[in-house]
Amino acid sequence: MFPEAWLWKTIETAAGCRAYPANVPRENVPLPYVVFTRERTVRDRHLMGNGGVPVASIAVVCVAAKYLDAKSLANTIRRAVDSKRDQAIDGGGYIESVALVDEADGEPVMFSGDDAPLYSVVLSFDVRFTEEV
Amino acid sequence: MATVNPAPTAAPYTITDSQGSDMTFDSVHFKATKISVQVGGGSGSGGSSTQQIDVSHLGIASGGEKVYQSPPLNEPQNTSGTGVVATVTVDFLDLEKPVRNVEKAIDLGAKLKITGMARCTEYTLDASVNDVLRGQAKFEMTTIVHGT
Repeated sequence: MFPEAWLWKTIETAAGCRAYPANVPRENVPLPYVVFTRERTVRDRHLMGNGGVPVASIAVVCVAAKYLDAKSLANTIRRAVDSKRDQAIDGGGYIESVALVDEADGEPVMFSGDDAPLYSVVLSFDVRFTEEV
Repeated sequence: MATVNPAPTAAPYTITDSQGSDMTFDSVHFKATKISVQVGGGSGSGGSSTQQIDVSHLGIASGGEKVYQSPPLNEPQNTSGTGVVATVTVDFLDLEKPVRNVEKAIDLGAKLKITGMARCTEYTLDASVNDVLRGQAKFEMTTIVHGT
């Protein structure tokens, strides 16, 4: 039904850490962790309506205490998610394809009370999935 | 003093939206993203079948008039004696493979209100990275009915 349902489960299974939609629920969550957010959705349309296979662009932010740990977490997620095809989504529908389209270092995050920043890597995936029309 | 925009009024005319153009050929529905119809003109290039050919030559003096002649070949005829009366190009999503060079019924949908008989002359199918399958097909209409 929603590609995030598959992505959430896949990330937590592969990375062995928590993944949070949109934002971390509170400060001081255990490290490392992942935050994912859908940034946009593009739908191919034909003259009779929706083509039924939209592409969701989803940013996956991998956060860790050390720079190389964030890199390693991102690499684990890349291998678990990138280039997957024909994956069933819990609740219905399928992931048609997944493409990693960008990977970049995020801005180090300094929470109040911490004496060292957290490091992050941002993976940008284009996920094509089926939806009801 | 603030400017107050005038209240909107009804448009003096309306135009027809493209959505709802359900194109079919040989009873196969195409997920068309664009339908282009050129009524009149011949096959292939879309140029007129009666277009004159420029046969000017170097023997004509500078400043003289160009010389034209009719094309040496005629457009193919159907059973009613007409040639190609319109050409249709359809861009579509997915994997339709229209039968080629066989005259079949074509319907360009409720919006365009054009039906008739046509043959597919060529089509292309594109598979690209991170994209759905897309295609384009070209048809030559040999009979055309304009609905109202």
